[in-house]
Formats: sequence, C-alpha cells, structure tokens
Amino acid sequence: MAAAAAEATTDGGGKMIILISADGKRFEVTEAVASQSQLISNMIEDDCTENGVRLPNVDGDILTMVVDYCNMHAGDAAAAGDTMKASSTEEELKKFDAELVQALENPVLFKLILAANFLNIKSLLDMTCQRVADMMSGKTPEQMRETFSIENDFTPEEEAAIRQENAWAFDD
Amino acid sequence: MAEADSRDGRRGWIPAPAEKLTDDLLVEILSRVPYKSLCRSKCVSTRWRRVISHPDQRRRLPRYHLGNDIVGYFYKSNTFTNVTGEGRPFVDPSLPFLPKCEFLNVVDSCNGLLLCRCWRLADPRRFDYLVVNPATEHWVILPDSGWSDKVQTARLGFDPTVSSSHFHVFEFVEDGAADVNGNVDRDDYDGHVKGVEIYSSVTGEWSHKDNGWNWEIRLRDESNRCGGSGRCGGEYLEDHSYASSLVEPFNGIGEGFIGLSQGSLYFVNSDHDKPYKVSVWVLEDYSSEQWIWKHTVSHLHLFQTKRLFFGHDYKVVSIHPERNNIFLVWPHSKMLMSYELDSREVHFICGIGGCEWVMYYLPYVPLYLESLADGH
Repeated sequence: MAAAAAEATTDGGGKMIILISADGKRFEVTEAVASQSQLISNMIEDDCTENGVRLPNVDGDILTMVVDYCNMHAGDAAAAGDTMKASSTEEELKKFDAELVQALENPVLFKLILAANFLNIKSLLDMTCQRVADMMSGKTPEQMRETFSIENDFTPEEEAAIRQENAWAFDD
Repeated sequence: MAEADSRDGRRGWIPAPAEKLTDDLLVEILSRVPYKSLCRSKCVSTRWRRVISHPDQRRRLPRYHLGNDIVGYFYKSNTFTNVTGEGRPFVDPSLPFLPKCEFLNVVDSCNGLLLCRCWRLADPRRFDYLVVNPATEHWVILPDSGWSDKVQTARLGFDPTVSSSHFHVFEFVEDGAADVNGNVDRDDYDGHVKGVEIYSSVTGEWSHKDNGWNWEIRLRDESNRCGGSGRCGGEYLEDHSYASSLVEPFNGIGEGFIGLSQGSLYFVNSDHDKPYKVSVWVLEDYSSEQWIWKHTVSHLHLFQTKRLFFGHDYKVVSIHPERNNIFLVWPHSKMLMSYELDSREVHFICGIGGCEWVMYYLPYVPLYLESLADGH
C-alpha cells in the first residue's frame, strides 16, 4: 500500500515517497530524490505526501525520465539510500544530462518542460529550455513553426512588415 | 482539412505539447536564444510577437527590449556581465572569432564597437589594435601606430549616426609609458601626455597631433574618463584637438566620468566643495566651452550612506545614450545601479563582478549594421 510504503524507511534512513503519474503508474523514491522538485519539497514540509503524490499533469513515460533525472542528481544526500548507487561524479552527471537532452525530440521535450515547470525542478527546466533554444538557433521562422508545430496566423503584409523591421536578422 | 492535419492528424499530437507552453515558459525558452533568432522568432505567430513585445518581458528579454540600450559590461579585460546578471554572457568576452592572440585586452567600447589589444603570438612584447563588432563578428586590424610595444591609454571614437562604417582610434602618447612588463625607459618620467596618435578609418592611416593644451596633462587611470575625454566625444570634435574646454572648469579635480548622451557630452563628478554629492554637467554647445550644471544628488539618496569616495567606493560606469540615466557600480556590494535624473529614482539592476581595483567597466550596446571600413 502507498501509505505503508510512504512510512517505510530504508537502511539509510531516507523516507520513501510514492509518486503517481496521470496514467496511474507508481514510482517509489526517497524524500531526498523527490524534494529536488520544489513542489514536492513543499508538500513534504506540509506533510501532504502520506497517501502518495498524485501528479495529474505528468504521464508515466515522462515521470520515468524525471525520476531518472532526480535519482542521478540527488547527490550525496540520497546516496545513503538503498535505491541509490554510489553518488554520481560530476563527470557522470554531465554525461547523463548531455545524453538525456540530446536524445530528446519534440514532443517529449516539450512534455518534459511542462513537467519540470509543474514540478518546479529548476535545473531540469533550465536544461530542457536551453535545448529548445539551441534547436531554434539558426532556424528560419518557418522552421521554428515546424519545431513548435505552430500555425502562421500573420497576414503576408504583417509578416513582411516584421521582416522589414528586423531585416538584418534575416540575412543569410 | 489542412488545419486539422497539421494540428493533430499528421503527427498525432492532440494538442501539440508546444502549444501548451504558457507565455512564461515561452519566454523562458526565448530568453536563451541568440538575439538574431529572437528577432526572427517574432515572425513565428501573433502570439509570439505579443509575448516578445510585451513590456513585462523587459527584464527577461533585455536584448530585445533594451534595443538601443546597454546589454552588459566588459571589465577586467576579458569578463562580460549581462545587465540582467543572468544567463549566458551576451557576448563571449574571449571573442573567439578573432585571430589567435597571445593575450587579448578589451580596451574601450563605443556604440557597439570594441577596441582591443591583441598581443602578437610571434612577438608577445608587441600588440596590434583591433576594432571589433562582436554582434556581426566583423573586425579590422589597424596598422602599427609606432607605439605597439607601449601600453598607453587608447580610446575608440565611433558614431553610427555620423558614419556607419568609419571610426577613429586615439592613442595618447604618454611620457614614460610602460611596456608589457610594466617597465619604463627612464626613471624621471612623469606620465604627462605629449601628444596623440589618431587613426582614421577613412584614410587608413595614423596621424600625430602634439599636445594642444597650454599645460601638462596626465591621464590618471582608466577610471578617469575626464582626462581621456576622447571617448565617443572625440568623434564630434572635428579638429580632434581635445579642446581644453572639456577639462578646464574641472582642472584639478580628482575623479570624474565623461560620456556622450543625447548628442552632448556629459560630465559626472563629486566636487571638492560639495563632498558626498554627485553632480552632472553637460556641454551642450562645444563652441561655447561652457559646461552647464544639470543635476546634483546626494550620496545619502543614492546609497543610503554618506561617506563614500567617487571613483573609489563607487564608480560611474556609463550614461544612457538616449535618456537621463546614469549607471553606477558600487563595488562593495557588487551591484550595478541606475539613477534616473528626472525622477530621482534609484534602481538596483543586478549583481556585477569586479572589486575595488577594477578600474573600468565598459558598457556594450550591440550594433547590427553593415561591415566596418576595411572589414573582414
């Protein structure tokens, strides 16, 4: 049961928390791992995690990635827990982050941004937003629309006027 | 049909997650794209245009909203801090697109261009002056002024409203200037300015002018823009004579900042007669040689404390090119501040690096214009 699991403690003394995704998948993580999310950290402080934390905005596949990320980044505080291996070195973390973010494509990337924002995990939000920004660099407005799957709702005159205003930006 | 296809049919996103991004998240992303991409992205959709242009985003999209404004400061030769204090530096201060140097110093900044010393790889005792536009990555290497082994005060003069591609470089020939290792030729030097070498990008050559003043003048240090006074203003003085009017009324004062705003030269100092106060003067008519007092503000108002020394405890680092705003750095708290003359409002802008001994902060305003004269 969630309540039982939530009360269970590991050998390292880290209290466990159950996270429940929108599609009902359950993830058991230590408090140290979960509290990288400012949202959950606040809930832990307010003692609202006993029956598991329902995350109606986050799908199971996205939450899997978030939990992986948080496990990697929990650092020494969580390393004492059973569920964690030895704490990751800085090198390993960089490699993990780089691989994670490189592999991300639309639409998973945007879902992850929404999840990082909802859960309030600043480092993950920074990383994913930077990835999108890097993807936009050097792209034409048409390509950007495609990346974001956005409709062009400008009239041709309006669009021409904006291009005129910033003509230098459309060179090359 | 086509609409339905692109929205959910073809790729199976219902709705596309990117469309769920709040304005806030969109700005979070856009604040990280290069300036050029940001300007392009205004074309993406009406929503994006609205979000980018909204005045509330001034702080998070400063590059867009500041427009003709200062985006950050160079200091300590090779460091750059955004005025927001956040994010990646707007300019990579190592200017990686330049030819390789033994060492690169950013010496001056004027209306979007930088003046740099590039110490030669082949002969590290000598340097070449480079004039660089970091925004467009255009640069020009200047011919040797004849003083390329002496570290002398140098200033850049450039005004894109006068000429979009031409500039001047002023190198003050100082008595007993030191070489790269700080060694001087003789012991009896006194550092006075003997003359000035002026490079014009129109002629592509240096010309020499003797000290036109009737007395010996010294450039105290990099923070003392008063003696330098060439700065951007030099461009405006057609005879490049550094008219004595620029300094005469303030002769003998210790510290001052000089800068160009709204087409006039401004001088900011702390007067001996009015300690603990900062005064602003303007030279509206160069021919009149009359500095007009414009404004005085107390240290107490600016810093909530009184006993501070201009140029030591705090520095005036720039004046807004279009508005009655001065920018100050209070090294003790590592804070960049602005002071608006008209409203008398003080704003703490952001943290900035550096310390008491950082002599200068060079404001940088990006310039996206055609190439420099002789540009690469």
